[in-house]
Amino acid sequence: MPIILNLDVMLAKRKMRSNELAERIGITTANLSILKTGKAKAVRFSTLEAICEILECQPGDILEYVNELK
Amino acid sequence: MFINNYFIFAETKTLYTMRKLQILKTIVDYVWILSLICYPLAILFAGMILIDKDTFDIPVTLIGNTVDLTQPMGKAVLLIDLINFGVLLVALYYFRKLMTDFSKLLIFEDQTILLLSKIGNFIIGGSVLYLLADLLTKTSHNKVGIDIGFGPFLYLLALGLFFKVLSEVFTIAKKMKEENELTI
Repeated sequence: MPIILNLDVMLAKRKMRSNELAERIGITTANLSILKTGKAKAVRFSTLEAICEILECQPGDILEYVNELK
Repeated sequence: MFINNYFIFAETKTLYTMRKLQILKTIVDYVWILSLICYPLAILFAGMILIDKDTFDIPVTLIGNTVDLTQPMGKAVLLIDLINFGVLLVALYYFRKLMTDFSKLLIFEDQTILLLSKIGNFIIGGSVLYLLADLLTKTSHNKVGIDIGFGPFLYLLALGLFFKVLSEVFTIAKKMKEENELTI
């Protein structure tokens, strides 16, 4: 997938653990792991909204487009 | 409360659907057992005809076509019909396997898709064999032509293609299910 989720970077900046984030968003740690490893096919706006709210960031801070052809 | 009610509704619906599946499975099992009894007898009968040409000096009707079993063409038709029976029996065997998978709630799996495709292939094969037997019967009666009217050929072909289409639909459904599961 050319879209990368930089959740790890943002979690490190906010000094927050994955478990805590998963708990506060209301998703399972397994689903958060799918997000972090880039296996997810899609992200709901509601999930993105919750992540941005908790990590106090913009969607652009955690989403990145990487051109795989280059 | 709503979620609990939804799950109870979904569970009841699944059980209700499964009851229909059990009825279908019972019918398929009944046909399967009957076929298992009939097929060896048919092989025995065909063997006797093929070995001893004077055993059955009477015209025999095979799937709607009267053939003279003392003639080589009649024997060929009998052999083709026997193979056709076997091919449809294999399709029935796979269909039983499919029913078992469905009863275990293994629905959008690779095995299910493969089974549907195999069933389709065997039924289409059966329809082609039926057409061949029909052609040979007509030839033995000094007629040339294929009857593709309201007969077993058309029904079998349509059924086989239906299973092939179902296999493709299940492939799409499996992909959609996977995408849905990977939507966070």
